[in-house]
Amino acid sequence: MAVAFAMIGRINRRNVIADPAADPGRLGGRFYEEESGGVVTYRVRRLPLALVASFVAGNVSSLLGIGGGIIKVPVLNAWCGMPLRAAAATSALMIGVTATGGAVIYYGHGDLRPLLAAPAVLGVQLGSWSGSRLAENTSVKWLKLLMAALLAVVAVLMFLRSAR
Amino acid sequence: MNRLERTIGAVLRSGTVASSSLFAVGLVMALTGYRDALAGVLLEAGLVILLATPATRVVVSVIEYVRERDWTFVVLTLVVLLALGGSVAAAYL
Repeated sequence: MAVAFAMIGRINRRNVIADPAADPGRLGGRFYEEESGGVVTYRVRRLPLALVASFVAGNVSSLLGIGGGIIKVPVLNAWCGMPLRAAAATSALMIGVTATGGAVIYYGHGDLRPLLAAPAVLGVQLGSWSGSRLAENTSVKWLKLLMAALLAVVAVLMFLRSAR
Repeated sequence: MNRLERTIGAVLRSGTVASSSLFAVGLVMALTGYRDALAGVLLEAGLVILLATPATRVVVSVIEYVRERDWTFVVLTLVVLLALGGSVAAAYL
């Protein structure tokens, strides 16, 4: 809930520098952004905070079975200087690699059912394809609002579930 | 985009396209009961490719960082690769 308010409080702040020649630093980067109409640069700040947030995200996602991205993306965006789109892409890439570690163990133990995995994978594939198309054409302001709303809904749902 | 980003993009794209195609064909065959054994093989292959794709991505990163002589990232990526190798070992040993 607190993170949702942090997102809304920073709704009009952008982490990108419109100058493509600006120095992105060791971990920053550049990418083409439709919304800004050109190549933008960003720098990464507060790396230790990202480490702590990822540690918390890992614990929470294992304990509660929710995706760690819901914690990492807002933290990377609100406090570590990453643009929302870059934060979303980074989080997805991280989760892809780390989730493989767990999935391989399930697969090795024969706990993975290909017939159940197939429709799930196809659905996610279709959703992420259309989602990334949609994100390109949506302003960051709306993406942040969506993120904040999603965080608020998850917070309320978890609260209701624990109260029952 | 630099060489590393392009290669990783190609690996991820081909991996997802290949696994999704196998899943789609395998799923239709399994649901219609057309050559069940082959459907099982296709679904299994889709699953293996899906699991191997992120791992391949990490291997590609290690190779590219060595080429760029970016030793900090070689070490960081090797740690990730080692963790993945650890779970493969945990699954089969």
